This record gives sequence, C-alpha cells and structure tokens, in this order.
Amino acid sequence: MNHYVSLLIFSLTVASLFTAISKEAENRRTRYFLTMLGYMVVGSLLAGWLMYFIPW
Amino acid sequence: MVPAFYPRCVRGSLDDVRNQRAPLALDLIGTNTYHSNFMSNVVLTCIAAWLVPGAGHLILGRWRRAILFFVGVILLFALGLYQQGVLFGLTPGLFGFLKFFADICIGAPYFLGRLLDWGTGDIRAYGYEYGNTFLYTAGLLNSLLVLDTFDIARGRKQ
Repeated sequence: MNHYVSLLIFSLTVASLFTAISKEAENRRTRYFLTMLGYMVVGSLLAGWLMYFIPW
Repeated sequence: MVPAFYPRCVRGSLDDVRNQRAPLALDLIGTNTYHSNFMSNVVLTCIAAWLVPGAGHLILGRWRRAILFFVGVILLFALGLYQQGVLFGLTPGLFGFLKFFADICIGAPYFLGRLLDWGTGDIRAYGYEYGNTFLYTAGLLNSLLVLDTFDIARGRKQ
C-alpha cells in the first residue's frame, strides 16, 4: 500500500466519521463530507510539495 | 430490549436513556434512585461505547451510525497494524503517556492486540509512521464517539 492510497483511505474514513457525528443538517452533509475530504487530500499533497523545497 | 449484559440493578431506566427522556420531577420526589439509575446507564453506555466502537450508538438505537463507526474505527485499527504500527504501553514522559492514551482509547481491540502481540511494530518498516498515525486516530476518533454517545444519552443531541 503506497502513501497516496494510505492518505485516501485515512481521509475517507475520518471524513465519514466526522460527517456522521456532525450537527449539520441532512441536506448539507454531502457538501460537508466533500469539503473535509478535499481539505485533507489537497492540503496533504500541497504540504508534501512545499516540503520538497525545504533543503534539510 | 434491554441488553442482557447489563446488571439487573441498573437496567431500570435504560429505555429512558434510549428515548432521551430526562427524569421527571415526579420521579425524583423523595428518592434519588431513579436519577442514579439513569446516570448509571449513561455511564455504562459510555463504557460500552469505549470498549466496542459503535456499541454506544447501537444501544441507543442508532444502528446505522453504529455500523459506520464500528467499520471505520476497526478499519483504521487493522490498517494501522498492517502497516507495522505499534500498540504502545505506558512509557515515561509526556509523549509516552499521550501515545498510550491515544492507543488505549481504541478499547477492546487494543487489549486484544496487546494480548495477542499484534502491535509489536517494526520501526524500519515502510509504513511504520503511517501505521502509528492510523492507530492514534482510531483511538482518538473512538473517544469522540464516546462523547457523542454521552451527548445523545443525555438528550443534548439527536
């Protein structure tokens, strides 16, 4: 299992559980889930690319 | 139905916990027994939620969420072990305690893993840090589920 698959599984699971315990209304939950998933996946990739330029 | 594993002495108000019925003033006149039973059942439900992920929600009748929580936490736990994560025991220092706390929050799977030597880990493994992160997250998510169970049982949340 490579790092990206781990990241995806982790993000999907955590976003699902957070959505289920959130107090969002039923019709807003899909958007909440996708937003949280996007933050985790895109944020991690962005942080990974930014760290590429750190020399140590 | 009241689960059979509950001791008879504290079963009394479980249906009220499930139905989110706070004790009525009438129930409390002249006795604290009703309230203490109600709180005992809330505490027992939280302990069940800690031991088995999703069990608290199952007891409270939220079976769909219970299945999702059980599958989610156990998936993170299993993948953490698969990637050579460690189930930490209590070690000296603040970080030692925090790692132990995060892991023990998983509940019964943690004790089972320690008993069967599942979480010995390998620091040289490719997924060692990922495995530990999965295990910490499984435990911390389960502690959130315990708090969620408590809120539902007290009637603060649906």
